[in-house]
Amino acid sequence: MKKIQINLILLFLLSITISFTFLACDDQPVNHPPQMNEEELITSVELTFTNTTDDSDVRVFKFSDPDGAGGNAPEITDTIQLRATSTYDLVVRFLDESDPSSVENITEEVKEEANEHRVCYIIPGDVTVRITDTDNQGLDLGLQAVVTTFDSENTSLLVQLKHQPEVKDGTCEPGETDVEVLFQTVIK
Amino acid sequence: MRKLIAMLVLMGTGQFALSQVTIFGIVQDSASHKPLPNTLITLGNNSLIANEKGEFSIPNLPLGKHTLYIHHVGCNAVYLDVYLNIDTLITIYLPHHLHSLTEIVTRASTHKNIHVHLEEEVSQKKLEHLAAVSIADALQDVNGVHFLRTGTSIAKPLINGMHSDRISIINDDSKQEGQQWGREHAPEIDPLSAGSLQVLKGASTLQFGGDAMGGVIRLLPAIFDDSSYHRLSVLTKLTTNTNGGLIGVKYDTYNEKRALGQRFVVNIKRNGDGQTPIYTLSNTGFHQRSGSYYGLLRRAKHEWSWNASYFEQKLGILFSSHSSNLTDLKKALASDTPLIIKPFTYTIASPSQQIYHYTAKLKWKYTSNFLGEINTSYTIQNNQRREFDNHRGKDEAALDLNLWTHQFNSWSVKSVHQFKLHFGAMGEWQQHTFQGRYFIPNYVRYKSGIFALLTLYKPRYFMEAGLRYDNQNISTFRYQKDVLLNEHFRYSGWSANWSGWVKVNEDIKTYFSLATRMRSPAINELFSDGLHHGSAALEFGSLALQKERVYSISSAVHYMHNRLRFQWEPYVHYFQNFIYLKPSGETQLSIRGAFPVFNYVQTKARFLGSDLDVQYRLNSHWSAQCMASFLYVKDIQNDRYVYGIPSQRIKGELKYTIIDKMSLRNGNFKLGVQYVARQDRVEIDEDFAGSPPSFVLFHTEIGAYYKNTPLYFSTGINNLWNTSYRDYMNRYRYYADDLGRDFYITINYIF
Repeated sequence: MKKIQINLILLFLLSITISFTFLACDDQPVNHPPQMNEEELITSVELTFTNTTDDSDVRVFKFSDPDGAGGNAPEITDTIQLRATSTYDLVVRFLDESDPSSVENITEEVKEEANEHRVCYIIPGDVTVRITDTDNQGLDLGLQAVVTTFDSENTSLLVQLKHQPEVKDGTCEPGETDVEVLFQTVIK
Repeated sequence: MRKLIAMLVLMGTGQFALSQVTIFGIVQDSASHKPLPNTLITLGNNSLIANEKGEFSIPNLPLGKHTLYIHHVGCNAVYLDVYLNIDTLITIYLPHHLHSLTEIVTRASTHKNIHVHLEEEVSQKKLEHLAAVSIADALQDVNGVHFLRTGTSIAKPLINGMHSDRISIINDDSKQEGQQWGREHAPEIDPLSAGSLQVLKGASTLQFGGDAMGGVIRLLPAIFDDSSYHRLSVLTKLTTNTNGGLIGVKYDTYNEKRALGQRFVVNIKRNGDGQTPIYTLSNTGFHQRSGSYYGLLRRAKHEWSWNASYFEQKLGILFSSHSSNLTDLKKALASDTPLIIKPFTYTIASPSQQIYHYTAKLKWKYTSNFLGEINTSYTIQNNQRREFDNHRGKDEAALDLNLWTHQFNSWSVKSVHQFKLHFGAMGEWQQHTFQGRYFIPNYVRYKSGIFALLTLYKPRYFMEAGLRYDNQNISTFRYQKDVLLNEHFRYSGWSANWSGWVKVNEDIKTYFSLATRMRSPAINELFSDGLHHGSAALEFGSLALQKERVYSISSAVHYMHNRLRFQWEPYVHYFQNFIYLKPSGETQLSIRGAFPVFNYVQTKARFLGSDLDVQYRLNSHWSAQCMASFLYVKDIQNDRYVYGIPSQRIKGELKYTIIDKMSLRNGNFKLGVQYVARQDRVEIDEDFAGSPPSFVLFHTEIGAYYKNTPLYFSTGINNLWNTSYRDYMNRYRYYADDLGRDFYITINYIF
């Protein structure tokens, strides 16, 4: 009887050891951690303004922080300069430039998941921003817009990319903020 | 059935009576010989309750055979046959000490762990009555233990104002190893699988490591009865607030012939979204499944025990508590109600946490006449933690941590006269790997420690001196840009503790403890580097951190006389190199907006506090209790308050003991009130929002056995007046109110 008990215990231990060993096998080796920031990342926002009355008046402004949140300070923080009393077509691009040798265009993914995204423009001055594209529900998307300026002034433009899975209602309120960049803006 | 250890001492008083006699009796604890008041004694149609001294008398009894029924709270009922022919004095010894821990704080008196300096215990019965599937449930009534919460489902215990790595959770004798550094990481353990739960302070805790500066929470294994039995118990709890339910099944068996005890435990808990008085706390659902198997085999001088357990938890994180940047956070803070409120659901969406913890253990105890008691144990633990946020790619965990720990412990206890020598060693290997987002690096850690404790026990005083040396080597692996870094760290140091008690007289006992302890920096304190997702903060660790050292003095005065019990425990801790997360006062710009910056720094800190517990028995049924905690913590080097310290709080309870009333036996009715003061000891620039105002909460409960059956039930209401409040110690206070009124019912049945 005693033997049987001891054998039972040994069997129990053996099975535990084996199961733990198997569990351990599919682990990644400890000396090969994943590379940092492997996940999808947006590092740059690029705004392209094209004057509706003058095709040659194309202005590109950029904000770029290649190592993401934290780490080094942003590398490029352009100031937007627009002409007064003009109308511009605005196109926005979101890029992943963390690896300079292979820049990824995240705008395509935003377009694919248009029902879950919204780009918002907040400008306190005497400037209007009208969004011209929509998702397939007919709600504003915001990758394209028309910007109309009036008087000369110094103001700022806040660009936000909102991720709104299942909560998108056409406004900027719900969802997570994936991008939030404040551009200093000069209109003259 | 538990063996009845009732002894009878029959003494004739020499007074003859003609046809009627009186029985006098005293009820005492069989171990301590202390009187057991409030014992119910029934003889025929006579029922009465023993007085303060455990005495009772039943006059005018006919001669002949009588059956006494004796029932005391916390003991099993006893039937005694007595044959009366003269007036008789009878002393009844009940094995009350076996259960004495139900609700009574034991201070190294009747319990076998006499060497412990300060100890509070929650018994198996109490754990079941509380339906405690988390450490927080189990310790909710213990004075001096607080909790750092994230909603209702995540609670980290706090002793003397300390938490995380400064508190050790010990499963029998091996340390529970999870990602305990995280503020929103609750201990991954189910107390219901344990026999009982203790909170320990003093020199004896050096056995478990030098870093338990606040104290040790220890889960003790089940104790089996001495005779063969099978016992199946079922436990269930239903709550209205979260529409939650818990079901637990426990099967205990002991075979006397083989001296083999076994226990199987399975618990399943499921909660939906919590409700404040006004709105739903969306995405605060909770699932937990846990199971364990424990076996114990005795063979002459050998004792083997083995254990395997499984723990799984999935819990939602309040939608509106997840802020992507400072603008979002400010918007959430400015709003009185959470920004996202959805209808009630059981579904858990992102953000959420999913945790698995597996343990396997083998322990061997050998008792030698010459060497004393020798113990050896080996434990394997695997902890997996996945955290999901509602960022892109939500099927994959944003944070995926996997921790393996192998631990070996060996110690020996030898008593010679009134001295006891207790010494041992531990060795540990730990490996951490992660996938997905970086938060802490991969590492391999080797830990070792040796300790020795010398105890002197005299009836009037007790002393214990302990010394411990700890060493740890960590080798970390991480990428910085494209370069793989392999860094090495070593921390080592001494801890020492001298503690004991002195019995001033029969009523007063004083405790003291002098200690110095050291703690190595936790992995996150060294390596945090960047965004703490969801909390909208940039956190930076420092590789230059040194080990932390504390000097502590604590004491306690216990006074017990007649109806009054008074306990006061003041303490002071002085830290050299206290590590904490200090706000830099700056914000850093990124593509996702601006974030406030926090740094792990070392400073000199002082913890000063006291816990007070006063109980007064008004009469044989009613008693009143008042518990209060005061704590003052300061970073004395920078003259700043430290974040996350519980504010002053007072709790009062009025209790009516039900001995036998309307089919209810051996239970009580409670009405309690809790006052929590506003935490004013905060730095304005440190916190995102001001401290919430003080609040008062009421709760009530009635719990008892149904007649003389093993059916125990309790039902009660928490937050009786449906008060809206926010607790400083709950991280959700920034976004939402705490839980509203909650009705619950708990049923325990033993087959």
